[in-house]
Amino acid sequence: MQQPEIGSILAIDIGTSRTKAALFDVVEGQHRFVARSEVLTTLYFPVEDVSAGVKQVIARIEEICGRSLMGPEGPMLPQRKNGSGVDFFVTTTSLGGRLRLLLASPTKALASLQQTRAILDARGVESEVVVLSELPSASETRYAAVVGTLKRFRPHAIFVLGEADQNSSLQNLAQDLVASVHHREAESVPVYFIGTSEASESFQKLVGSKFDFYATGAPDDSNPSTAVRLENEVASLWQQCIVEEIPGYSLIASWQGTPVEHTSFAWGNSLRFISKHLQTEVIGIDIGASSISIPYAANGAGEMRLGLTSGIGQNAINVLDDAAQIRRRLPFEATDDEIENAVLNKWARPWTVPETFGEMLFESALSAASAARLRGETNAYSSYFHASSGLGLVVGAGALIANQSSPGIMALTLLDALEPVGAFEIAIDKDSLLAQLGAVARHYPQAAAEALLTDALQYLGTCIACAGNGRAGSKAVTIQIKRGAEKPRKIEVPYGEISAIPLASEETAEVVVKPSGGFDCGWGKGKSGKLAAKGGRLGLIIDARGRPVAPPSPNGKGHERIRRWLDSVGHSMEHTEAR
Amino acid sequence: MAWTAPTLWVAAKVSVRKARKLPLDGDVVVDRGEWVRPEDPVARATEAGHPISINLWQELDLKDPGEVARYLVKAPGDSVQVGDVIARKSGRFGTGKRDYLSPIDGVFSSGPTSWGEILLTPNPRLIELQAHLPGKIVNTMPNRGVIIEAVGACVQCVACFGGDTRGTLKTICGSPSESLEPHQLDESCDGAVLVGSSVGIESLRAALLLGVRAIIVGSITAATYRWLLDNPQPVTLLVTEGFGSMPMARHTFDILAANEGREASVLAPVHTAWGASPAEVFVPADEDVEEGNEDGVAFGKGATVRILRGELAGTWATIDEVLRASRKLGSGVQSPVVTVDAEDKKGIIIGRSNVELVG
Repeated sequence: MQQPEIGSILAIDIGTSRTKAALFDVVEGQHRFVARSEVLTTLYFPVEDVSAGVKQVIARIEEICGRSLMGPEGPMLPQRKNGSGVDFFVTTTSLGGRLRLLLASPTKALASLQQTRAILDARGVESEVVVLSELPSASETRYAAVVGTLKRFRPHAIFVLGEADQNSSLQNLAQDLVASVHHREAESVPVYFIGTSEASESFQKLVGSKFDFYATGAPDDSNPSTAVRLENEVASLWQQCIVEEIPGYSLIASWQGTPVEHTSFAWGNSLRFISKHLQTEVIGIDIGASSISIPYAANGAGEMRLGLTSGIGQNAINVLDDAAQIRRRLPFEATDDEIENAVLNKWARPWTVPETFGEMLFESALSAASAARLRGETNAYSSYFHASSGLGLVVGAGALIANQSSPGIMALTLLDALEPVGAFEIAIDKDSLLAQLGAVARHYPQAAAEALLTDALQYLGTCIACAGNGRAGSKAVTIQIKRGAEKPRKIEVPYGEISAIPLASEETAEVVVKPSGGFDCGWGKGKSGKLAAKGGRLGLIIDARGRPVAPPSPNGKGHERIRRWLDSVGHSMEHTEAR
Repeated sequence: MAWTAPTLWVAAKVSVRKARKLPLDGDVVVDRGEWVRPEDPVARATEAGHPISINLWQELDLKDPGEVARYLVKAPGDSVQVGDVIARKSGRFGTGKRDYLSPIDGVFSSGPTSWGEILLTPNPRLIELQAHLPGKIVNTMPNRGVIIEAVGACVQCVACFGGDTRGTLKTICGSPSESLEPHQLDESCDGAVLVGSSVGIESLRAALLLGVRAIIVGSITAATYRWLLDNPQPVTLLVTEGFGSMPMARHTFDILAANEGREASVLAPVHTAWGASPAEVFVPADEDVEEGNEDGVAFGKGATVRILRGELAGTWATIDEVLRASRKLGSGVQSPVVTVDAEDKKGIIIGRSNVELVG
């Protein structure tokens, strides 16, 4: 048997609402998930120190496992012979405000400006562009404009883009930056020069010792390593400017020898691994209190849409104007005032969880509205799975989904938030392990892969989701399902409905999908196809509700429709009375 | 290890330590050990003015930017006050006359440029930070501020709109479920901090006209919240329970009513990159005898909590037991739970995240 690359691993994720810990250890030669716990993050009043929550959550793991992990100086590293301590300790976090970067570009049309912006947008960086050619030509007013921008935007760093032939505008910028620091009108922040080495050297001479200066090549489509280098610079700035300012984080940093990773990117890292291992397209959605991330991965490569103004906690306030979007997803009457009051209460106390079934449905609708806003704002990649290339995979995460006990509600929340189309499996990051394992994978990929493939995903089943519109009740898709030796069974699902057919986790079924003319189930409009559906906690799901899900419905019929959907996935209507 | 829990302190008499900080570096003007009154300054700073550029070519509607210099009444280096004429185009036969008046108090810093622009720099602004509550300076933060220790009644609030203020506590409503109505407000409310269950837009308008300093309510509706965003008012509004139609908790109301006629300090939240400390109403005690402190009660059996979600949202309860294992809530969410006794009901199971420690 091959010797494991590392022994026990303690991974912590510090979220805006909750701090989670997971312990992994070697069981019969393989890394397995051993225990997890979560507590409220202690960043806020009355504690205002994240290390308190981290100590609490580790204490809970110690209690669950009956094993001592902490010493007086933090986690005991490496693991002792008596079983106490761990071999590796790693943290991820989604805490902190957005990194603010000022981009200074000689012209609007500079190719590297578009590429740099794309990288920053994908990482959720708040950026503002100063186009040097558009600044006033008179030096005083130009200086006032530059200082005004620095004072208002307060960037954590300045990214200057340029080439050798743009020397005069770059020279003016350098003079203005130096003068702003000299006159104490702006703070000295790191300056990153993105461009040719010749232009970089002359700019560095001009800003002299007033700024910490870094030079990097422009991102170049033909050379992916330049983009990776820029991404690493941004990650390093995030660490310095955001993470190191988190109250109490310095103590946690002193416990580990590796840099902290952003939860969303660590999560995306895990999805990239899954896509490579399963040879499939994967789209995920992690619905957090103060962010929503939608990573996409195929063949081991990935992209990320990170919404740091989305989420169902502190950022719920950003959907206050979307009461109508929330209401059309509810199975009961709710006025604008009731919805808005509920949004404000969630904003004021983001750590709370739904107590009643009605509150659960409200938060599910809130997730969908917030995710829809993010997908609209970021022009997110299509959630279309080409069925001809096999089953895709949709992965859901976040406390609302992961802590839900009903697979039907999990599936509806996920489908409504992401609105995917085609044929795909649905899985849940039930124990919130993917982000932690994504961070572990940077250092011990084999250990992370073993635990990830065995323990991280809980499958709900296979979904066939149709895009298209039709008359309510008209046939959208016909499914022929054959399980083992059973006779094939035919099911017609009308437009506007969803249906779930039990199919246990270890089962597969042969499914023939025949959409009606106007509908597309992943094989193209009106085109039929076959697939081998895999089972799960819910089974085979046929989502013929169309896209977007739940368009506004007049005369209150929308409520009945949503109650039918809940019924279809195993929730009888009387639950909805408990508003 | 003790659990930490979200906390909004409500106490009749408690010792508090409050940080008072300047928004930028300045000078601390008191010493450790000194006693201060609410109106005493504890720190001062000067904020430099941010220059603004004005294009007089456009403002005076001139044909050529080079003409601006001809019409200037003030010269670079001159000090200006709001309303001073900086440039005047006289026009012919009374038509086309146009003045440009200074929008700020400050200095005509430079200009005009070849584009007809001038720079005006506002005067530096003096920021004086008051103690805002009576107490003893127990620590100083060089260049930034102080920590004041004081004893009195303290009510922390879930939301606050507006800034720090002080005023005489006045309980207009007879019970914690009565809302503040416009007809209840009169001249006697000038300079007051009013207490009620809820407040609507009309009452807020009336309060503004009457010189009310602050209003403390149990809840406000989303409509009132939106109005507050659109109409920044000098009346500070504090919310003790949440949004919707929740009455003020009886205990909170009683504490505030018991301090009727006394001066209350309203401390707005201090915002950081990570969030904000809760807003507070503090009423200093006559005697400097403390009965508890902010670190007081642990989250465990006997602690008083406010229920935040579900059908009992807004109700106060007493923790009976903090259960170790998770349970399935009515929502289907698997969560750590506590059992509480509330009103006449015993052993109610509530998600642990759905209760807030109040004292």
